[in-house]
Amino acid sequence: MQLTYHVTKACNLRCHYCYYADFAAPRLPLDIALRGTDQVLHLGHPHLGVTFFGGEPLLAKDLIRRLLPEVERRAAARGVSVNFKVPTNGTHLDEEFLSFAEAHALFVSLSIDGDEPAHASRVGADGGSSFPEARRALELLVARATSFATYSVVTPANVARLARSVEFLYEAGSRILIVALDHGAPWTRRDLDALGRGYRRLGDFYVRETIRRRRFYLSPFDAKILAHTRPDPGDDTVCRIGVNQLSLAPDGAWFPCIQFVERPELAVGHVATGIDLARCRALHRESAGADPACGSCGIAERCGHHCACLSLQATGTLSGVPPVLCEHERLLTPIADAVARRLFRRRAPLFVQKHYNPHYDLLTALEDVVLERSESR
Amino acid sequence: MRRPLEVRPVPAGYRPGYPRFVEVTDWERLLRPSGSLLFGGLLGAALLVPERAGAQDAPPPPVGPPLASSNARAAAIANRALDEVRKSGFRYQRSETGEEEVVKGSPKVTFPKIRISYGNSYVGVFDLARAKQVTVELFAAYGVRLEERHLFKKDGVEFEADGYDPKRKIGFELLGSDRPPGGLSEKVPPRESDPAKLLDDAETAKLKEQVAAKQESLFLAPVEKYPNMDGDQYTPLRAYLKSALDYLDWLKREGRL
Repeated sequence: MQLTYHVTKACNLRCHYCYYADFAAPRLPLDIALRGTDQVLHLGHPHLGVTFFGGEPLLAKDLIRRLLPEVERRAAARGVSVNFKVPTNGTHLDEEFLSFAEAHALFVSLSIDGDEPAHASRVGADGGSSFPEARRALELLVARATSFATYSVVTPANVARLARSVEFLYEAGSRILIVALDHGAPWTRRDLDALGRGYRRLGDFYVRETIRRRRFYLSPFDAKILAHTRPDPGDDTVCRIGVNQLSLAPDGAWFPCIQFVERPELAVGHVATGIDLARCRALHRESAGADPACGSCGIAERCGHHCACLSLQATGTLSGVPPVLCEHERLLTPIADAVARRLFRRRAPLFVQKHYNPHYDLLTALEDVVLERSESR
Repeated sequence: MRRPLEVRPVPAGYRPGYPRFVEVTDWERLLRPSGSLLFGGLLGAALLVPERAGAQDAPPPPVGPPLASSNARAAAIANRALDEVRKSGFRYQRSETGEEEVVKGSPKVTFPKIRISYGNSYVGVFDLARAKQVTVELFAAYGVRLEERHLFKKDGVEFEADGYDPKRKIGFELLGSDRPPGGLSEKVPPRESDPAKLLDDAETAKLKEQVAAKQESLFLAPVEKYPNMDGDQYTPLRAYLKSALDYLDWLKREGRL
């Protein structure tokens, strides 16, 4: 079960692609957060993935510092394992918070779109670039030698810099690179052509670095390849509204997805009254419909069309397939597969280990320990 | 003018051109140690040994050594069940186990601790039906013939036990399996609605007292400790069967078998 606390709606940036319409500053009161925690724990799931979300969540650092240990305690009391994640724009990331994050295994994901020109959509309220602060945060994370991710949004405005941006982040020290499309942007076929060129260049990068045995995770390539190499893990490994995720808004309302908090009509209860499971199931059923065209599609199992928030954002319904999503999947999947074929045919050791060795995670963790020790000598 | 963006299926015959995890049969060749720091080292080689050995003989479980018991037949039954599940799909490698006292004086119950990854939550599926069936076989290996779905009645406790021998007062019950946690999923096992068969909280407490007082020899394991979401069938079953074997070994040492 994924639980997201919207710790604040306030944000000091005004990113051009942000779906938030209201940056008023209500914060999630601690008592509401804890009541919500108890309600989710009461559902009986043995594992909880917790995200502190915003606005900019680090504008509510004090709340996170108080809430996280209490969630840990309550989860432990019920025998529920829990892990934590916080995305941030980096502007308020500092050594002190990173020490707290390390102490509590709070995974930090830095929102940075690449090099400075690619990052131009992430601006402050005054319109000024937030790149210097994002870069400072990246350097801070790299210097801590802690595990972190970078999260980059690709838009028509920065798509031409896609490969350069990923290479920039990689050279700066990021090893978990998440690249996501802004599906709500007005993509044209010309933009998608540029995206295809970017992916093909990124594919070369992926092949080159894999052959050099440099360990990294690059979404969407690794995600697409894993969606094929791993056996079908069942329906619940992806986000499904009304089934395996809940978001708690600052006013105490429950939502079935992070992006729905701006849509009160899609609430699924309130901490005052509890989680409305019947409403959750109804929304899940509504989102589970599929476009008839998908029925015969050869990549339907690996496609992201299950994402209800994307559907809502682009089509106004919970189950509609956004044309840009379909175009993107048809563009990306063959490119990712071509990369995988190249690496599989030459039995590139790191590729084989990453996608076929059941012990890969353990081996990489051990490798980290050995490298850390050898570097500290 | 160029075509507008559209929803259009990829031909059904599309093939990626490289195998799925489960389609690879020659593990020894594919996973042979390479030259990176650990993958090429002794540790990497050692970690791959179970997979390599598996290419020749009956494949041993990939996560940890085979389950052990003083009763070789019981151990073989448990490991065979795990081997069947192992072939069925995904396993999460970062799983750990924990222990918890369910009944005072009885061996602790082992349960899996499977970390969740954000947006990528590989947790487990606990196959209740398989777990119950294998448990019956384990008891049989120790010479106890259990009556499945036995209506247990004693001192205000009335419920349908998953397996019970009324003469020897030995059996097992997966606590909560008649009303499994629903969460938000629609794919929940059916809930028992007959109050005579349902084990409620008060009855559970009384039953634990009877077991703690050694009036009954029941292996009690709470279903909520075994994750039921997706993917990994192996890890929860392994933890559960280890508990069952531990219990039976202990019962034998106690002289009650």
